Amino acid sequence: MRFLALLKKELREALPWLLLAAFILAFCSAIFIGEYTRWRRDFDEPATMSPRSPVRMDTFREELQLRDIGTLLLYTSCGLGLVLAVRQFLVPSFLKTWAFTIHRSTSRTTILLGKFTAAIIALILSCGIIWTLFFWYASKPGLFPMPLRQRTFAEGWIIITFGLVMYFGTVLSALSTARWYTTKMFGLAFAGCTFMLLLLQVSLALCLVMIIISLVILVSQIIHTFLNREF
Amino acid sequence: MNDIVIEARNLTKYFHKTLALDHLNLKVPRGCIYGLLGRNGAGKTTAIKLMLGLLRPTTGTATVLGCDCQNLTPQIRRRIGYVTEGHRLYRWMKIGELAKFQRAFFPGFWDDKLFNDMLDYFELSKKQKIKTLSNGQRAQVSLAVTLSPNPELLIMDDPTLGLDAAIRRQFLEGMIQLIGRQGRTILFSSHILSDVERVADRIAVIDRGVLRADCKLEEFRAAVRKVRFSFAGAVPGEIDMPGLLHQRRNEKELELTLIGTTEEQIDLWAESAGATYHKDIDMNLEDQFIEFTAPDAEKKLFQWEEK
Repeated sequence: MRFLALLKKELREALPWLLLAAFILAFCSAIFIGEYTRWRRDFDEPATMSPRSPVRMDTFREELQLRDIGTLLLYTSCGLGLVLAVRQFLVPSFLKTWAFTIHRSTSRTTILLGKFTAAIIALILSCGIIWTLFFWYASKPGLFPMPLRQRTFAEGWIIITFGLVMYFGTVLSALSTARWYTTKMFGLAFAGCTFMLLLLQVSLALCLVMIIISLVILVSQIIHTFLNREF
Repeated sequence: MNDIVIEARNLTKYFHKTLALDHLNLKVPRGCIYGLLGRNGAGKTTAIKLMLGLLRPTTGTATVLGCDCQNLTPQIRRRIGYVTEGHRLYRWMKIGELAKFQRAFFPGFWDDKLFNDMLDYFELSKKQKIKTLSNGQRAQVSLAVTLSPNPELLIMDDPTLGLDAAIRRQFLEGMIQLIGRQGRTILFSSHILSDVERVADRIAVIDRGVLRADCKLEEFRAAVRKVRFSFAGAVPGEIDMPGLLHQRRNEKELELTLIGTTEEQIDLWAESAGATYHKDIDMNLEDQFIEFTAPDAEKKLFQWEEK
């Protein structure tokens, strides 16, 4: 009951950002699908192809275009992770509502769990569902010149999971009481380093392992900081 | 049942190199309305946050309802109502939503009737959003959501700060309603002395992090006094009087602010110093507090012109 009350409150606070992220992603996905449809027509009927069409018969690969939606997914999930962390952990410091939140007849761990759960749900509801819907629609026969692969779908989800790394990295930075130019930057820098390392990987499994390791490190550090922090 | 609800032992807090609270020792008895007095930055909020485990002491300990303040369990927190400084609540919530949120943490203890009665008393509606409320109304909502779970101990950090006189009175009357309930203990900090005088039965004065008084309100009222002495000749240069806080003087008169000095000691000194006449000057609690906590610089001798 207490956890649910906290979760509900956190979800309500995350709602505007969740909707904004979902809208941006859905809007851009619709544009991409529209573009694909046009390109597909160019591909099928080269005679009617516009001179400005990006489709080149020799190099056209669905992965190239899917990279665009992948980039968008990355920006959206990272942006949402960052904004949620700021809303949950920095804004209460400015509004001075921490004391009211912490003095609950529940443990600090439950308060933290409520925030984490809300962030995960927000990422799944916005980025996850839109990506799944996009993939489902784009996989319909006749839309793309080549069938979409399951690997592409998994890549999308790994990008979304990276949004969580960004979220936890920002949370750790927000919770730190050090100055911004010192150890307070550790969380964000850690997320940045994970991102750089991910770019170098080709194996999905390795990417997933790296993300899981990053999450474990960040979450354990956050729990320790939150349970011992002064408010 | 333990008769001491809050006990602080050598509670000390440094913020980096700044000493905010210096070896605070105090005991709050059960059923008492305890006023924590101090100027801005005296250490009142720090003391309260330490007691609630929101800050960690540099040294020293405190127990609240028999539990170490650094390890307050959810069960103990349920028994403590806390009104935060500035009544910081979730701005996006409506009053009804805030009550629902708060109620979830007090299953079986939340008194819906009391909450509704308080809203009626303060003429507030559940549909009003917190962010649209004035400071005074937010204070009233804060009090209502804190009192509705029937806390055994109520801790309020400068609850009347920024409120006008009428709202302050209404707020305090709401508080007094709670006092009527048996066994409730209230600790509140304030620098509005008339509020303290109206409700507190025991006070602690914190001055620059140091506890300078911890006694019943009437004892403090009786202890701090101002006496004016008249002299036929010159006013004595050196004043050697027990409990001397401040002195003001002109050519013929001397005004001494004293603490804990007996009538006998005053008479004796007046006679030895050659005073022709002396009388007590009326002081309200605010005068007493200001004199008692005046910074060192003001304790130096200074002249005043007689009108």
